Amino acid sequence: MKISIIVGTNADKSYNRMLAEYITSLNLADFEKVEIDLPLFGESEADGRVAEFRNKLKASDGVIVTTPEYNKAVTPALKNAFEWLDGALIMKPTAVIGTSLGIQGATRAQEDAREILLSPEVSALVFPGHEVLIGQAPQKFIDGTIDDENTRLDVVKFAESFVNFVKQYSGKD
Amino acid sequence: MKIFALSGSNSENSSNTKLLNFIKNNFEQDVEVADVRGIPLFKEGAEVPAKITELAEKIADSDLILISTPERLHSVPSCLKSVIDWFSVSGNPLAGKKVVILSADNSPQGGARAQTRLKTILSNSTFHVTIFGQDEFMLSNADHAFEADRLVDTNTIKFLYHFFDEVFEWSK
Repeated sequence: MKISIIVGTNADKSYNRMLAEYITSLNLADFEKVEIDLPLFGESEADGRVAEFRNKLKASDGVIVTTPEYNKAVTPALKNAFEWLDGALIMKPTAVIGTSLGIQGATRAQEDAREILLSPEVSALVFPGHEVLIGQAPQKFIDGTIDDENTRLDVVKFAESFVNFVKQYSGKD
Repeated sequence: MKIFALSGSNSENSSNTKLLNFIKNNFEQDVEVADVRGIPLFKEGAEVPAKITELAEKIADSDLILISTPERLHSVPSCLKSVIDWFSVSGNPLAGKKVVILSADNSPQGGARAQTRLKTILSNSTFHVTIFGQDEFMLSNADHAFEADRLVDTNTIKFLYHFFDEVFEWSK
């Protein structure tokens, strides 16, 4: 069972990338981290990068999106990636999770992401419940792992629950 | 009064840009219209694009800012979010400014959801803006709203004038 994990930013250093890598390391399914380095929607033609992005998601049984928060919304890079989807996530089990430097844990960005995923053009099967908001990222992500036990448990529970959700929906193992 | 009107669209033939040009051509105030085309996507730590600096200078020079936003996937388009994030890391030209948000979209909702998200974004403490919060202007069915760059519906035009009566009163 294949699950893509979209890193919701183009920043070179990102705690949300570390979160994606941590989830991948749990090996609960065939997880693959997906970066979003795509041309600017609205001014560019769809190129090989866009095709690869769409194909990867279409070939996945489920998708996780890790999102930071920039000014109370998702990053422009993530919004840009969503704008290129062209139906690649229709009825695809999709979960949102995020981490931030401050206490909030990307609250508003996670809401923004879910609204976008639920919009008719995207129509993802958004994973309900299991909200995980990881605040104070620099204190939690140390040496490529999550150094806080409660956070680690929350993330593992989230990942296990999502994998079960995808299994139920896709009928796969 | 100097008004700077930013279209949040990077499309050719944008209704948001047409709306702002209609305002420029039909109101007596000095209105300059710009759009967000040709600006590299925001990336943390990257060099601030020249066009951002240009927009920032025009904003600094203006008494009132209009932003007209399209709606993509029920939210603010990436090209506009990108410009706003660039502003927030390059000295925040919007600080202390009065901002009016409008929208145009081909749906009956006229971009209402994008406006709500944009208001939330600009309410972030980074920006120190004052956002117009009385009536809302949404241009519905935008693809059919213009003929030769003129708004065709008289009720829409009436409401636009009424809306700006409120805006100018508020921005005194």
